[in-house]
Amino acid sequence: MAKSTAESNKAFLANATTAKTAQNLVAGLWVTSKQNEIAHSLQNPGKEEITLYRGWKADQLKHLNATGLKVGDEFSLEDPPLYSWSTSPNIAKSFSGHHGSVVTKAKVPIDAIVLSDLVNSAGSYESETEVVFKGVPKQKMEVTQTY
Amino acid sequence: MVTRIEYHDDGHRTFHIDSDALYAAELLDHEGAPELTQEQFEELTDEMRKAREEADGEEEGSA
Repeated sequence: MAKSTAESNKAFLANATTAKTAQNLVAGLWVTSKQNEIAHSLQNPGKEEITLYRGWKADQLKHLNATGLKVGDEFSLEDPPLYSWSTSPNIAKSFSGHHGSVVTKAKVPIDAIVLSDLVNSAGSYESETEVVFKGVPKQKMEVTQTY
Repeated sequence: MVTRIEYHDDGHRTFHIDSDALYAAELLDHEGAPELTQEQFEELTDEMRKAREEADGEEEGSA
């Protein structure tokens, strides 16, 4: 028998809480972060930060009450969590959906990277050029494309 | 949720966003994530906040 909407939502919330706990555990694995930092520095000598992208669907923005965005607008967070973004604006775009969606970019210090498929296949989505990073306070995320 | 909008001279705006709400919004990308009402989204944000505060408390306790 199909689960009711309430049951499905409850299960999703439980999974989301577990995911949050798992993310915090990942954040604690700073050894992995250090490996990434060294590997990335070797691949990009002299580079102290990389630019990453993420797409946001219209319904996500609506939940956040962040509608009517235009290119050049920014998101700012006081206490940023872990993020999973892409080095590719095109991959970010593929996640953003259609009308009302946006793509944002952020400049991320190399030492903020926690996991990345690019340097040690430590992430789960190599095809998405995924980089998981710990946001820094007042992290700026600039809107680069609107749809 | 957007907590404040800052308007700049060059015309761009800075949307200050509750970190837990943004994290909750990121989760909606996950496969199998249901379409949530605003009330359910706020409930999810509260769950994120509680989980973070518990984790922060554990970190402080072990420091």
